[in-house]
Amino acid sequence: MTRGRSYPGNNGYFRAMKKQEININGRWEKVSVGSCGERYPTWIEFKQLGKMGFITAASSPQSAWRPIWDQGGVFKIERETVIISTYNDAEKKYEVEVKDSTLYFKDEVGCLITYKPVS
Amino acid sequence: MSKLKGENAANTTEITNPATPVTSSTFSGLKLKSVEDSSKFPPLPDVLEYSSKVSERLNFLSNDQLKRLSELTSVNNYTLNEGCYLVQFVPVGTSYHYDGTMRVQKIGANVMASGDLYHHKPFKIWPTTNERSLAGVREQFDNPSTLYGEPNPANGVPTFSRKDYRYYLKVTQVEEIVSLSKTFTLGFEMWRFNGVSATPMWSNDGTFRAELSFTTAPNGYPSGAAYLTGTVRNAANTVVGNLMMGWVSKYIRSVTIEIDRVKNAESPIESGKGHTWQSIFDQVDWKVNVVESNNNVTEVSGDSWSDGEMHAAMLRLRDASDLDFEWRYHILAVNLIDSTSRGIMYDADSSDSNNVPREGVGIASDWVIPDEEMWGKVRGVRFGEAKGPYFRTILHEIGHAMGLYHNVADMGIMNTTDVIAISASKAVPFPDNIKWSHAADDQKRLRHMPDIFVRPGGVPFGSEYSIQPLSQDEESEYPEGLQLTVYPVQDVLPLGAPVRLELTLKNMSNNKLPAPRSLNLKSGCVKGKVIDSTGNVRSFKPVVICLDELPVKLLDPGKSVSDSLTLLRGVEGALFANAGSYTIQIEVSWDLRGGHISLQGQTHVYVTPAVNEDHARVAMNIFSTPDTLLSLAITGDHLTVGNEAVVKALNNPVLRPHYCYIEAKRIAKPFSGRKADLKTALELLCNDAILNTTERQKVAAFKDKYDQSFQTDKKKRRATVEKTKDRKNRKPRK
Repeated sequence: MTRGRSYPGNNGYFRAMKKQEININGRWEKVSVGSCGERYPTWIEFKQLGKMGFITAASSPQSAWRPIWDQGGVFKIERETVIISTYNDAEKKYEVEVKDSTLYFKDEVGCLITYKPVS
Repeated sequence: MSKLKGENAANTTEITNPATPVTSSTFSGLKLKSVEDSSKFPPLPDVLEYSSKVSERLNFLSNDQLKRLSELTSVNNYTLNEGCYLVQFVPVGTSYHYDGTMRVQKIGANVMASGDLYHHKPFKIWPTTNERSLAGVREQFDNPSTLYGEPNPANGVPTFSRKDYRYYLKVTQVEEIVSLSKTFTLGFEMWRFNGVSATPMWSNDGTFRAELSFTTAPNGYPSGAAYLTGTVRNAANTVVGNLMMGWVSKYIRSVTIEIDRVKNAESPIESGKGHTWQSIFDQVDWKVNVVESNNNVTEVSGDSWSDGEMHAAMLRLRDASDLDFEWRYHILAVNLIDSTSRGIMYDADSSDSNNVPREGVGIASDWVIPDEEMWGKVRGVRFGEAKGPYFRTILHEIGHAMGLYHNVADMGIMNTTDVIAISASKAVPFPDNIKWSHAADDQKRLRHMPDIFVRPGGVPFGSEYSIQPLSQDEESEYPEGLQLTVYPVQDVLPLGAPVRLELTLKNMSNNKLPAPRSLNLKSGCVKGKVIDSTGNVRSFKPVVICLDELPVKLLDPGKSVSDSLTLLRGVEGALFANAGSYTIQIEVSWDLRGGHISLQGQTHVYVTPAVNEDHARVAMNIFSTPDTLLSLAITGDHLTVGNEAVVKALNNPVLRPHYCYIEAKRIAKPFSGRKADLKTALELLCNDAILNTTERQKVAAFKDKYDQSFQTDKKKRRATVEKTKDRKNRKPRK
C-alpha cells in the first residue's frame, strides 16, 4: 500500500471478502486525505441507467488536480472489483468494498481511497 | 466603455447526471469551480459588447452603407478582422520583446478576443563592429530579420517555441468598432505564466490599455489595411511599451493530425455523413491539416496494444516531432487496445514516457459494439465499420489531447459515447443523436484557452506540469541559426550508472555565426538540469572551470561543434538516484560583446531498477559517496573514497561496463611517483565498455601511447641486448 489513509487490518482484507453483489450506487464524499488519493474526486455519484452504471464526479476548487474520474464515465461491478472509466477514457480496475457505510476502493498501486455517503 | 456581458459561464460547473433522462442536478447546491479556477488558470475572455464613441446608429448600418458614408464624410469603417493577428509587444527599456498571436472572434455585433505572448530576444548584438574578430559577418546582415527569428506573416498562424511561453492576454475592452478616426482602444489583462511547477502557476500582471492606430502593414502581411500600432499604458497611465498587430489568417489556430494505422484498421477521416476534420474544426476557426501516413503498422504483441506500445509506436513512426515548429497530434488506429474498448488519449500520466504530454491518441477498430438496444443502428457492428461513432471517438480523443475534458452539457464531441448512446430514443436512435460539434463552453476553450493548455507538449493532461520553461532569464539572447542537439550514448541504463551524453551545436543558417570553440563541461559554458518523473529538478554544473574567457569562433554554415558529457551527481546530490524516466535539459551559454547568449537542448533517459541485492548495494554506495564525482571529473590516487566506490562498481557485472573507463583513466595517468600503467588500463577497457566519443578518443590515445612506449621499450631492450653483445664482443681475449 502506498501513502494514504491507513485501514486497520487491510492485509488480506479484500481477499477475505464474501463474493456478493456490491451496491455502490448513490452519492459519496471522499474522506481519505493521503496524497496517493489526491487524484480521486472529492464527490462522486454512481447511478444505474438501464444495464449501465454511470459516474459523475468533481473535486473541490482547492484541488490541484483534475480528478481522474469525472463526468460521463461508466462503471461496472465484477464481484469484488469495479471497473471505472477515467478522464482519458482508460478503463481501470479497483478492488471495492462497502462496510459500515463506508466505500473503500483500492487502486492498482495499492492506494486506498475511502468515501462516506453524502447525506 | 465596453461592458461585460454577464459572468463567465465557463468558470463554474454544476455537477449533474450525465445522461439526458436525468439531467436535473443530483448534487443540488454543490456548485464547484472547475479547473479554470483563477489560481491555476487565467479567466477566459468575456463577450465584449459593441462600444463606440460615435452614434450607436452607425452600428446598424450595413457595410455598403458605411462605405458610402465614408466616401461622403470623414467617417471610416475600421474594425478588427475575425481571425489571427500576429502580435509584437515591445516593453519600454528592455532589449527583448514578445511575439505572439491575438485571436479575434466576432459574435454578431460583439467581439471576444484573447492572445498569447512568447519571449523573444533577437540576436541584435550582431553584426559586431569588431571587424577583426568577426570579419566577414557584417555584410551578411543586409536583411537581419531573417536572422532575428521573427515569424513570417505570410505563413499564416505562427508557431512559437514552448519554452518561450510567457503571457496569456485576456482582452477586456475593444472600443470603437466603427471609428471616426483610425484609432481605437484595446484593453487587456496580462497573465504571466510562471511554469506549471510554480505556485501560483499564473499571476496577473495587471490591466493594460493599448491606443492603437490603423496603419499600412509592412510587406508580407496578407492584408495591408489590417495592421495596427500604438503605445501600451498600464493602470497608472504610464507608457510601458509598444504594441503592433497585423492580421495573418482567418483561422485562429493551426494543427497537423498524423494518422498511422495497422493494415486492417480503418482510417478515421470522416463520419460518413459529410463531417470531416476540417468541417468540425471550422466551427472553432481552426485549420486542420490531416496527414494519412503509415497504413501498414505492424502489431508489437498481438492484436491488442498497451498504452506504452502505442506511445513507443508514435515515437518510432511519426513523420515529424518538432512541436515547437508545428502543433502536431498523432493518431494510431489499431485492432484492439488493452486499457479501453474504443479509444484513449494515452499520452498522460505514467504512459507519457518521454514527458511530452498530449501528443498521441489511439483508437480500436475491432471492438464490436454490443448487440443491445441502446446502440441503435450500429448494435453488433464492428467499430471501424460504424463510421460515425468511430470518427466521433477519434475527435473525442484528440479533444483530450487538446486539453479538453469530458463534457456532458450536450451530445457533443466531448461527451462520452456511452452517455450519448443511452440518451438516444426510438425517434432519434444512436448514432443519429450525435451532435457534430463541441459544446459551447468547449468551443470557447478551443478558441481562447492559453496556448500552453491546448498545444501538444504543453501542460500535462490533468496534472501538474513537471517541466519549467527552460530559461526564465529574459535578458538572455537567443542565437537564431544555432541549434543544440543532445542525445544519450545509452537511453536505457542501469541504476547507479553515469549518464553519458553527446552534444552538438550546429550552424543551421546560411551565414557564418559566432559560437563557442568547445562544449566541454570544463569550458564553463555548459550546465543543466535533470528532472525526474515526479517533477523533481536537480541541477549540475562544472566541477572545475579551466578557462576565464570562453573563446568564440566563427562557425561555417552547416558546421558544428561537438563534445561529450558524463553525468552522475549535481548540486543537490545524485542525479539519477531512482529507477524511472528522466528529462535532461542542457543549457549552453556564453558572454559575447556585452550580451549573454543562451540556447537549450534536451533528451530523455530511462534508469532500470537494481537487478539484485549486490547491484542495489553498489548503486547505493555510488549515490552516498559524493567523491565519486571527483574521481570521475578530476581523477587521482588521492581521491581514495571516490576511487573505492568506483572499484566496487567495477566488481559488479552490471555496472562494470559503465565504470571501467573511469578507473582506466586513473591508472593511465602517473600520480605522485606511481608510473602510468597503460597496459592494465587497456586491459580494464573490455569490449563492452560504455564510452562517449571523447572517452573513445582518449582510449585511442592511451593505445597509441602504449604502442609507442611498447615500441620504445622494444627498441630499448634491443639496444640493451646489442650493447651487451657489443660488450661481450669487445672483451679482450685472454
